[in-house]
Parts: sequence; structure tokens; C-alpha cells
Amino acid sequence: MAYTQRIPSLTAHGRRAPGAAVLRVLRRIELECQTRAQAEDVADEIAALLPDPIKSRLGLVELLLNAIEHGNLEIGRELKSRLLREHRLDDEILARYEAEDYRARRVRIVVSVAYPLVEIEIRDEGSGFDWRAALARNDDSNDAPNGRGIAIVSRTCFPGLEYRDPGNVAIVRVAWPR
Amino acid sequence: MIQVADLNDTVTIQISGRFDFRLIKDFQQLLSKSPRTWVVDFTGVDYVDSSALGMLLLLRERVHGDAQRVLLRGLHGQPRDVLVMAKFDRMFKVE
Repeated sequence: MAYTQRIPSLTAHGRRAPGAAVLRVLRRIELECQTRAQAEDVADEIAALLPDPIKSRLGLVELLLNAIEHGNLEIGRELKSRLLREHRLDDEILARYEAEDYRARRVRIVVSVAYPLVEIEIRDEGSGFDWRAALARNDDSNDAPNGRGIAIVSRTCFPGLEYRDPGNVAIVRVAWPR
Repeated sequence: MIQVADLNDTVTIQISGRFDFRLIKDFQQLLSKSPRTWVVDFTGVDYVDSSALGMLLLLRERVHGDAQRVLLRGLHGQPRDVLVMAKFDRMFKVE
């Protein structure tokens, strides 16, 4: 299914209406997810409120999957490379959803609106990471099969991507054009 | 969704819809093949994520980094923007 079909307000009313109309009366939404499938649902809901739902959906999914895999499930960058090369990533993620150390962990998302500004905060229960290095990293020489999510988000989806120390909270601010 | 054609030492991978983390398992199963040339057809792809980039790099590892042996076909729209941003148009042969 094309992803726009999963955003009902988009397909039902066309581009302009959903965000602008709802956002004038909206102040705050809280969402929570544990799994990657739930992360997609969260991203679809929030992206429908933003000016560019295509780019926003991708950016939100990337940030949410980082929060789940690297934050809550503590799959580090090198471990993820290895799991991908050994074809074990999906199995490892499924196992960690159920594991005692991780199963109670959730990613919490708060969308705060002061139209035309929308702020999205994504908080995981991991121990954070060196986000300054990640934002500054040049991926051109990265040969690993992972580690490009943040570059995609900050270069093509949300130029103002920020983190709060120790790195378990990502913050995105988007402004609707007036 | 992934469709595969294996002909004359060329494996063509045709993907439709989203090329994202949900396809990792299906894609990895294809990596057991060892043709001379791989073609990834993006004609029906309207969305890629960072996992798609990772899968392409796993494919590139299969041919020991030889850019001439992995051809990306039919790139357009969002997938093209993301791949160009990641400079994949220099790491693969793009048709």
C-alpha cells in the first residue's frame, strides 16, 4: 500500500486542509510505541499534520526506529552492522521486545503545537549516545550497511534536528508556511 | 514487495511500493545468489529509508565493491533524492 493511503486526512481532503485546520485548535498530542510497526503508525499520524508529509514520514520513522533499536533495545551501531551482515537483525529485535531487560520500555512522543509551529519530542529509555558526533559525521566513507539514518533526517527531512543530553531525546521543530 | 528474475547470470530485483526495513529479510535471502550482475529496478518504488541504503550496500559487498556489477534502474522521486543525498549515484551504476 502506498504510504499516502495510510494517512486518511490526506487522501480524504487533499493536502492543505488537514494540517492547517486541525493545527489551529490543537495544542498537544502524546503517543507511545514499542515496536517498529507501531512506530510507523505514529509516524503516519504525525506526518499528516505537517507541511511535507512525505519527507516528514521518513524523518519520523528514522528517528523512531533509532529510539527503539539503539535506545530502548540497546543494539549499538557495530552490533547492528554485524546483525545485518549475519542476517539476524529482525530476529534479534523480536527477541529483545520480549527480553526482561527491555520489554517494559517504550518510546514516548509529544507533539506540541503553537500554530504555525509544531514541535515533536521523541524520548526513549536508553542511555543516550554521542549525538554531536553523529550529527557532524560525514557518511561519505561509511561502508557499513547502517548508520545513515541521522544524516538522512538532518539533510533531507528536518534540518533543525536536535537532541537533548544524554541523547535519548530527539527534538524536531517544523513551521507551517504562513 | 519483491519480485526476482534470474536470467543470463543477471539477477533483477524488482521492488514495488516501499523499499524499507520491512524488506530486510526478503532481501537478505536473495544475497545467497551469486550472479555476475545485479539489477535493482526502482521503477515501482515510491519510498526508501536508510535500511534500503543498507541493503544496497550489502549487495555491493557481495560483488566486492565493483560498482559496474550493480545497476540501479528507474530511480525517480523520493528514492532518487535520498540516494543522491547519500552519494549512492557515485557508488553504483545508475541507468
